[in-house]
Amino acid sequence: MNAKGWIGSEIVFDFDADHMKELRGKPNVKGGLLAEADWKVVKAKVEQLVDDFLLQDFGIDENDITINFSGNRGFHVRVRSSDYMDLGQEGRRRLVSYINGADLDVDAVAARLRSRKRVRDLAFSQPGWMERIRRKIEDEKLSLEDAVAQASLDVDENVVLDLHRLIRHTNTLHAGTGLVVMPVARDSLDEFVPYEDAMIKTEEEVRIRLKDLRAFEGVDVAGIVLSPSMSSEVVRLPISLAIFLTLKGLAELVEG
Amino acid sequence: MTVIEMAASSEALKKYPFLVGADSYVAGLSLSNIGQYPRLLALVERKVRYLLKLSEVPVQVEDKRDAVALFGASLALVSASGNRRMIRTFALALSRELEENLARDMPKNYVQVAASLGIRAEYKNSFFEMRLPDYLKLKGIDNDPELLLPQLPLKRGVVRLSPNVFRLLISRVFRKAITEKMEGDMPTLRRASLDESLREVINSVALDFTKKRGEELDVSSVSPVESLFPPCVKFWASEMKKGINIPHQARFLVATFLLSLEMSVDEVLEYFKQTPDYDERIARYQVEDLAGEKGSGKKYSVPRCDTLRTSGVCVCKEGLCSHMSHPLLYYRISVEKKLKGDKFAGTECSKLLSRVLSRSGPRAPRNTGISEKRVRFSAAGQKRDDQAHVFRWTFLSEELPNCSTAFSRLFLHSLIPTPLRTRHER
Repeated sequence: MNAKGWIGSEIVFDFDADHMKELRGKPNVKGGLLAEADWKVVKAKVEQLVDDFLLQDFGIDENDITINFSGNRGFHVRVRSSDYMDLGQEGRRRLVSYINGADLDVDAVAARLRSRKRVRDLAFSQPGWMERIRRKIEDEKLSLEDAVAQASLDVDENVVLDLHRLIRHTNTLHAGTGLVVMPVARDSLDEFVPYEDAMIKTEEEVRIRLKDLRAFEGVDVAGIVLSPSMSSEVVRLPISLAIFLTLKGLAELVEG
Repeated sequence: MTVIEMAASSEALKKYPFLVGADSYVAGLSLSNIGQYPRLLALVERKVRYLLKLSEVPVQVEDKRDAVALFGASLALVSASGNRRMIRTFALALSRELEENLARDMPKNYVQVAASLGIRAEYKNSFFEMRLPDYLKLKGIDNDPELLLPQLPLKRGVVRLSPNVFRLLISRVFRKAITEKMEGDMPTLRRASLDESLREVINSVALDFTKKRGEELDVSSVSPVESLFPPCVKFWASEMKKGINIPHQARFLVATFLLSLEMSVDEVLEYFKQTPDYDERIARYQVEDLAGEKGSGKKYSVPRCDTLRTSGVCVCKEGLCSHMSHPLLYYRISVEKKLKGDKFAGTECSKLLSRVLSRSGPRAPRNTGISEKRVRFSAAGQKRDDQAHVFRWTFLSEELPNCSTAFSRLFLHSLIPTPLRTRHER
């Protein structure tokens, strides 16, 4: 038993629509289904993390990064690189504080912006945060405050810092949706449609009775656009879609 | 030149007695037999006294073996005192000495010194390059903004540091390492049966140190004063009193903070009773766990300011808070100020002053031993109500214990940081 012990853990970033301030307060977001526009918000954050931070700044090998559809309302980004597996909480905290800008010395940046041109150019030519801020300010004409806000990314630090967190395994079914937790390549993230691509492919059909759909008008589920007029309708659907709608509380199984 | 070869060079060892391989020069020497080497023991005492600023006489060492023995023995001596404050002061002084030695050395030599401390870096085109994972694993580098990642050039997993910044980094890692070493050895060394002459030296140094620095204020001996709590604790406690559910990390902060003031579990629970999801049984279990009375028996400590900032629990970045690293430090300073009649005097005051100066003072180089050198600065205040206020303060070392008046003004009106910054940028 002496060999028992912590070996390491991946660095995991959890992007869940429930915790995004941009999506807070939208009626169909909390616990329900996401519309395409909402998925765009979630995907944009994943892209920012992977492109700007993990690849560009941290130089993590593309092959060590996995983007997983979480099976419900977001994505997990997992870094599985031998360089980082044994990183402790302190090091992970530094990563989070880099990504969300908490460790950025904004006063010092402001001071440099006011300094003479040569000093300023020198300071802002350095790759990483400075370069990013310079681009936002010079190319996009943003104020310093907005530049910092746009260049930073809120990540759930509890998930990153937790060295013992369990994360849903790839290619398993999410118990709350019946959707497949599946890897999505960075290049195909844009085209990925969760309510279609993550359904188990099956021909078998069952009958379900739809419930009140008022809150989900216009949401596209595997090609079926939900509308309030469908409420109480009995339909025959592929078993995976039927499971999904039933687990989401939008339908009930009909006997026979 | 390899590290071992460098260790063999006398000059290098005199400056960096912790280089890899250095200990081979002092095999067989330990605290239990140092009493047999009176010349060395006297040297150690002089060195420790000098670095703790109990003596003005610097110690010159001619022999590399002396330098190495002196280094190891002085750490052991300070550690054996069992005085944490002395350990911290000594570690800081020793790390400053290292930084000064590095500053006089050529940057290409830094790499080997760093390697002895477990810092892996390469020297390329007048810059030092570190792999990001190596940088992330370093300890002791979180209190200086210039050492934090967003301030450093970072590209494709490579962190670049200028010689100045790298020197600071080495010194911080060194300070952390020797502090941990001394604190780690403390329990064993305090129990160890030591030579009578050595005990005498340790006791006399410790006594003089305590006399000079004054007793550190033990806040747990003063009954808690809510109005002096740091803004974060005050804010979250008042949210709970209003019946608002607050984030887990904020509850953790409030509970650990109150427990660290030696409040009982029942007293702490009073703060949580108004929250909507309050469940006496669960809450009691959790607070007892934090207090170390349950399960693991581990007492949880109050989170540091940078942790609070990361988790979004920090609510204040102004005034006194802009110089703080820990909520308890804020409280200690506030209590001290209260006890001394609203004057900033005492040990925390001088520590804070040196921190203010080293961070924002235009004329205070990082290595200035504040009580040794004369540090002067002047600051022009901003125009207010069409009336120009010009503040001119001169702090001399002799005035430090009495820095009260200027200092209380400093924080009561939060004037210093702004004008100082203004001048700095001009």
